[in-house]
Amino acid sequence: MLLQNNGKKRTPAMVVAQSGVLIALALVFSYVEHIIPIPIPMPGVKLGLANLVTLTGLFFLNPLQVFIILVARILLAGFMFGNLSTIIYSLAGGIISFCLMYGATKLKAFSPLGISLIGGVFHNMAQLGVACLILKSTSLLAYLPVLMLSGITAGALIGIVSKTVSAYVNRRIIPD
Amino acid sequence: MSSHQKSTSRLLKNDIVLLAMLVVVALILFPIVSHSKKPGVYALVELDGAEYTTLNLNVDATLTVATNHGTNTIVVHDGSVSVESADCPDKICVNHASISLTGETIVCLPHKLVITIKSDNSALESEGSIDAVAE
Repeated sequence: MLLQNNGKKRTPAMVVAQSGVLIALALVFSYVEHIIPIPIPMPGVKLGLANLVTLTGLFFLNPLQVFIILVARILLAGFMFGNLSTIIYSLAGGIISFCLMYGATKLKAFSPLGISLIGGVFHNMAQLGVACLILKSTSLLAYLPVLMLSGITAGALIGIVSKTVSAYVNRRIIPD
Repeated sequence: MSSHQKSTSRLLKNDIVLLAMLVVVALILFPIVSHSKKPGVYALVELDGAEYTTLNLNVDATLTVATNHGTNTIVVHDGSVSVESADCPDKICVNHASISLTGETIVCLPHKLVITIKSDNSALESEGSIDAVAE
């Protein structure tokens, strides 16, 4: 019901309401991650729970709507739990990983797991690239392998959850 | 149904190939970035991309770096460097293990502070500029 009005065209109000609900959901994920930090003292190592909304959204919604949900979530979470620099890093990682994940869904070569892997790895690589630019230092590249492995792990976990959620959404919301 | 299963397993195979490729790339990068790690000679402290100061690793010292971003207290002890305290929001620099080998870094992203362990010749190699040579 929320995702598809049984074949009828969705009205703008429905899209707005649905986006609001999903932004709120993504914000809760950001908050949970903020209050339960991963005990690895390295910048950029995180699970990326909020990516669950972006990733799953890519399979059911208009990509533009998913992109707006993503940017709104990053800005709101940044103002609530972070600061300007965390917003810049999150936007860089979020937008790059969104573009690559969207491209990967178009390829139709990967399941949500593979798309999530791409998102996780390139999210971290984009953040590292921005950190190198802002700090004007290439010594940060020493973190690249660790951040890649962390992106692979986080991407795989989020991908598995998204796959499970997608099957459920499919069955309940869009009946055959 | 069987064709659906078939395509799902094909996608899953692609996923696993992708996973394996990414892990292999990461594992190949590990030795490349950590090559020639040996005990360093001094620690280079950079603020906002510019050299702030250097700390000799053979001399125990405490340095407080205060900028308009915030404050970090850097400690040199027994040839290794750590950040003892900082008023940054994430405290990643404080929780970071102490560093002593060339190329190791502690980064405080909120304060734009980077501490890198250097050896004598790596300073000439990486700085390679007229300033470094003239020194």
